[in-house]
Amino acid sequence: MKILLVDDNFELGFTLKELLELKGFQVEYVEDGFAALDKFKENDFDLVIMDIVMPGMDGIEIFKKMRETKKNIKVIFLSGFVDEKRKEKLKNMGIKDFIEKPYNFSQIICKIEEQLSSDYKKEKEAQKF
Amino acid sequence: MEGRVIRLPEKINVFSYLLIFLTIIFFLISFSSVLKAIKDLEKLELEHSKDRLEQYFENRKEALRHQILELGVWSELFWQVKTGKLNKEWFKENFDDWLPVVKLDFGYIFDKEGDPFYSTSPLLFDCKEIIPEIIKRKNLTFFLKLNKDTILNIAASLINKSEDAKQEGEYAGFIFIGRIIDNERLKEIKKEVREDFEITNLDDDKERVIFLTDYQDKPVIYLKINSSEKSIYKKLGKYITPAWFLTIGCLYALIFLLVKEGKRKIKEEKEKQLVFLGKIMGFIVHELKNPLATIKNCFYLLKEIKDENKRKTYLEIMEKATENITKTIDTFLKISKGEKGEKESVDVKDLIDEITKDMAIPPHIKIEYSLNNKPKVLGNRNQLRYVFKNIIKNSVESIKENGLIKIINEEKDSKVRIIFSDNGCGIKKKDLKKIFEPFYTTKEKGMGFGLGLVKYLLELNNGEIEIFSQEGKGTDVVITLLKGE
Repeated sequence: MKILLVDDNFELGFTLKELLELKGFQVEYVEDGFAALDKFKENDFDLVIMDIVMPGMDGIEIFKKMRETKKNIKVIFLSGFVDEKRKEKLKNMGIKDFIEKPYNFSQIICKIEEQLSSDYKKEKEAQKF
Repeated sequence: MEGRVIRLPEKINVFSYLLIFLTIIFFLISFSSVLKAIKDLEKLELEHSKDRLEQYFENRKEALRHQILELGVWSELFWQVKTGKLNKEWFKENFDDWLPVVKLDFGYIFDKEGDPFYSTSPLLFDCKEIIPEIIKRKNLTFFLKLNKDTILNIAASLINKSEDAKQEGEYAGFIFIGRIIDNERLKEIKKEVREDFEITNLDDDKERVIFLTDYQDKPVIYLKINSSEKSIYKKLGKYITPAWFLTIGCLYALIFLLVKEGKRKIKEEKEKQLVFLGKIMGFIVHELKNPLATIKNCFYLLKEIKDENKRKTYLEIMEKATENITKTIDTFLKISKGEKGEKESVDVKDLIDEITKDMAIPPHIKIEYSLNNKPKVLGNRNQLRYVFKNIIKNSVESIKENGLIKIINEEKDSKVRIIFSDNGCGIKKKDLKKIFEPFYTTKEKGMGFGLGLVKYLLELNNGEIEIFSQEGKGTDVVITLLKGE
């Protein structure tokens, strides 16, 4: 289970990475969009967790570019503030919601489960046996 | 670079200017009616007084008749003077007594039938009735005046006139009607005429006094109008023209408009302030979200992880996040209270270093500074930090690919200018007008708020901001601040 985590706030990104790793996920953390795209090309990720508002390229734009290379890539957006324009964009891309900062970690886990329900269940079942 | 200086547009209320213009016009029109009223009333007053004067003479006909007969004495006297048959004794006896106290009212020259031939007054007095009596006297020559010289002159001129008339065969005689004005007599006259007129002192030049003149245009009778005033003011009504109502209407509308505008402005100010505070609160909340989320993460981690070294790292991260929260709250509390904060001399290079270190500038963006003479500015460090951070952040966000942010300075007199130039995406012309509105959001990249706050913070620090930008080419941000020590 490989996750790419993108957030321009280092402390937040770093701690979230540690938490996700604690839950048994394999996490790559980067601070900006360009690094994220590089990493995305190099590796095969199951899920991207990404801040929306970031300097340079914002989360939505990064996600658009990622979808060009991998169509079925799944994403969970995190954000503290999303203006109307971005909300509209998210809607157009078929993304209904995002996790608002400051979140409960369980929220993220729920979302991950939701997003990866099939893959995740399979993995868990495999672990049982 | 094509530039544009940002200025707030001023609202001009065309309607109120129009109202002021109309008010002035209507007032001028109504004022002309006042002038007309004054003129008319003066005329009216005069005519009214003349009417009353005529009535007065009519009522006093008997007395006047007597006066004329009495004054016939003077005709006789003058005849004596003229023909050289002067009876000096008689002259002395009468002349000295009469002269100082007699005043000319008016005079007529009449023909043989007794019809008026020449008159010194517009007031016609029918003399026919008394003519038979006058004729019984020898020559019908009357004259009266204040002092000796005048008497003789007048008499001479009048006689000449009458003689001219006589040559033409039309003259019969002339009458002067005068009044005796010695103090005693004056009192008597006053008593007699009190109901109609108040006879004022001859030297009195007060207003509301009308007078009749003699044939030389010299004032003879002075009349002061009292009783007729009331009726004059009653007539004022007809001078209240529609222009007056329009003037009052326009004034009322103007006051109404101004009061309304004033109230609206106060309300607008309050609303603006509320919106600004609200947005500042929103910004605080947003700024607090990352450190709060970080602290939450750390709590989870601390609960789960037993490794001492890692735990220490998390605690350090939590400490830093807490510090960030405190700083943010401090800064925003000061901003929202409008406090100026303590000012100090801030080294620009140090401040920018501090900011860029903190910001994690993406590797594709280069920041270049060439700051001359170690510039220092006067201001609140926290607030300036915020300003610089926002400007650099905006530049960073506007740069898509390889970018360059140049920071240079200029010094002039007591001011320092710091110019941030980037080669980012620039700002659209239509957005350039609005970017200083508090938390205005247009940019598709970056957060878009902050420039309103930047401007506000610069104002608190006696600073200014100008932005010059061309879409697709980049943006120059020029900040002017007071020079530090």
